[in-house]
Amino acid sequence: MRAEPLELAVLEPERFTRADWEELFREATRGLDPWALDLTALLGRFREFLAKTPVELRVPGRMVFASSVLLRMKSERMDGATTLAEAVAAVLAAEEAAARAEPEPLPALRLPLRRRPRARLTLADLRRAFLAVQGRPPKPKEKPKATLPVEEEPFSLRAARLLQRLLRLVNGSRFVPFSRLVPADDPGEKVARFLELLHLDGQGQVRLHQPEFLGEILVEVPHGP
Amino acid sequence: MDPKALVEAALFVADRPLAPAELAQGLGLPEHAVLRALAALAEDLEGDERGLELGQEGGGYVLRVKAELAERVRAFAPHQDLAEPVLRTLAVIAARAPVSQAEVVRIRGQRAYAHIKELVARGFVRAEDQGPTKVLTVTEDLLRYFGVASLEELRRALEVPSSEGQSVAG
Repeated sequence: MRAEPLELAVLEPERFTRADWEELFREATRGLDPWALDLTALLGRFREFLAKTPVELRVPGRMVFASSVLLRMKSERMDGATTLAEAVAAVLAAEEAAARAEPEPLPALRLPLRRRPRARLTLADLRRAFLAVQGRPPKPKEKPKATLPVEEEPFSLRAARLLQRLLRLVNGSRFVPFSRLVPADDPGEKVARFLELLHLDGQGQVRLHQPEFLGEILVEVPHGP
Repeated sequence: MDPKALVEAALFVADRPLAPAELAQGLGLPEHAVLRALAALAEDLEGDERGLELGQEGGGYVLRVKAELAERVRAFAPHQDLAEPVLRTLAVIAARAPVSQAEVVRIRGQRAYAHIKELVARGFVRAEDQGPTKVLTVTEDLLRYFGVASLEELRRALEVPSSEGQSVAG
């Protein structure tokens, strides 16, 4: 048989403060360790209580909604705010004030000072280091860095002299290989002559050709004899 | 605050020898109080029940593990007191002292100049000008550090022939 829904008067708040509820709690927890409640036993006792007492726990949704509206109205009245918008504004204002407030000074963080341990050396360490040095051949002397020859003569004069030399070398053909102008084993001399040739090329006195990639440079003397 | 406690704490955290004047300035103590504290600390640490000693290096004071315990506690100290290249330069100087700086540089390379500078700062090596170069000798502080009585003993430990010369700077 289905039980009838409870009347509103049954749910009055005062009922929950009555002594019989306290008695119910005492009865339900009697003999249990308050620091380690046996939930299974507690649940069993509560189910026994429900079985003995006919209670209808189903509540219509409309009733819940009406109760929530009443509760909100009551809380607004108690808070002194007349409308919900004012209550919301009051809450927001309180939050802003809290955000603006100076934070509480935190205690200074003090880290302990610790020493980075460094092992004290022993004679065995010194001997190991000595043997390591002995086992290694002396370091070779560093090779002196190659430097470009410093020529006292003005660059334009050297370029003019190179042009005269080219004119002397031109014989029938107007092309002179670059390798004929410099000794093969002197990179500094090669660089110096090449810079002079670039200067002459810029002036239109010679033209430089390199038919093959990284191959011989041919110096053309267009105004040769 | 007890000056001895302050001096002990400063020496514990420092990674280099601290001179009494530097301790006095850093701790805000008169220098005579620092000297008294150092003497009391050295006395405290003398007993066999203590693992540390107050050492003198390069005009300053250091707290260090006693030489006879160094090997036993090595596993707890991941870093060596002197970097390996510096230690090798020190080994060359110890084996050949007195030796010219040029000779050490010839053996150890150009970085030996920096190594020698560090060793002089630590008070392990003394460098004296001699013409265009310097002559390097080991100091009493170095002998005390390795727990040997003489350079001869140090060289025996390195298995260096004794004919290579001997000189110790105070």
